Amino acid sequence: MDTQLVIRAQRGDEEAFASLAVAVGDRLHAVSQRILRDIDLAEDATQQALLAIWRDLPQLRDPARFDAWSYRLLVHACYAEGRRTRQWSPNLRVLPVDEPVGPDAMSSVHDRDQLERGFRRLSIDHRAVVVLHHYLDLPLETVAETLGVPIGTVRSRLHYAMRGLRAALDADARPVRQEAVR
Amino acid sequence: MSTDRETTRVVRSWLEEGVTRLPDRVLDAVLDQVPATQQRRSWWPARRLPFMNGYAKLAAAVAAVVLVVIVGYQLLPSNPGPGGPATLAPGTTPTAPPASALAPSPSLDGAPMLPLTSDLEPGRYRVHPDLDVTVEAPAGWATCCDNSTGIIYDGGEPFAAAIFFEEFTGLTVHSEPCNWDSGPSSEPVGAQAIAEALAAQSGSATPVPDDVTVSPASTSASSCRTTWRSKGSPTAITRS
Repeated sequence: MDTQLVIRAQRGDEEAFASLAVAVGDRLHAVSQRILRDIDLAEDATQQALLAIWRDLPQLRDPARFDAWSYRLLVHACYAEGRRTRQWSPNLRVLPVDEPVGPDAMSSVHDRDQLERGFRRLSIDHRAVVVLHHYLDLPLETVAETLGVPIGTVRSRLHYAMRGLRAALDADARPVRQEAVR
Repeated sequence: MSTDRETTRVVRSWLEEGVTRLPDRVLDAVLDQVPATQQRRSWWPARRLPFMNGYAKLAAAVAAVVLVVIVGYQLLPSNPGPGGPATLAPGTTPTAPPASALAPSPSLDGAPMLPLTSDLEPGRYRVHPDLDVTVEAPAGWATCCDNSTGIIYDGGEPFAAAIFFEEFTGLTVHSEPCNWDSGPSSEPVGAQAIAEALAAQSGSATPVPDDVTVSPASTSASSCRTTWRSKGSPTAITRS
């Protein structure tokens, strides 16, 4: 991240912040979508996170830490969205009934659906660790710093989350009913 | 049965799927709101503690000085005492909903915001713009900060006692207060939870509490007082 851009935005330069938002918006949105697993919620969370970044930017003391700091605000926004809408619909992907599907593709689709179910059973805390580590490739130490929790907590959450996802993948592969559940 | 490596591979592959682009309308909505959104300025000085090193932490771990923290959350979900809800005392800022039972909050009695200067005059300071939390600083104490964290400390180098207030969550209590960057922490909500978290601070950094009293029904709202002694110096956290 261009630290000069961060510094200018810290001083209230709206154009600098606009450039900053363009630069980080996609990345933040990709993360929030993967944590929340819902496009609408993710858009709201990203929007709130970007506004929080603008509002609190003067309190960021080390512009070089902007990335981790912005992820932290984003995860907080995801918490807020998650709390606001606890009643999520299953929102499973719609599979066309007549689509020819080979054995490998079937397995892949089945894995994805199982992962989707398993992931949705995780708390936002656990999802955030999985996404920051396995999607953004952040080291666990950085994940801990980003989330503001001890690294032992991060390891524990990651272990629990991956165990849950593995259990979901290992669940009996009953014939996939080709229906939309919403 | 999947192996851990296979699970990781599948999860990583799965995470690669999905949207990666923020819609323009969302970005536009953010930028439309920026001119009307005031930035929150830091109230602490723009410098790091130069002596916040391992030695300082160790020194902090073995010492304690008199420190009185008065925590005055007005909006606590609490049961009123047997006498029913209390009325607001004159001069108390009426920020709570009428249904809440309130006691006069000492934190709002004109306590100034923690100043930007690093040296503090003895007295009570409000430490957070959004929370009714005050700290009573003894003579010789100072304030400083790390990234997004306000610190009030005893002014020594290395310091002998410190308390940390984290901006994002309002108040974070570090179970090892002199090992805040890697030790476990909690984000207690409400005076009682804060007092209990502070009383439960562990590690060699913290004096052992010799008295903890929590009496939610003793006042119109809730009150708690934690007192401990170390090297003959009392430390208390009071919420009323």
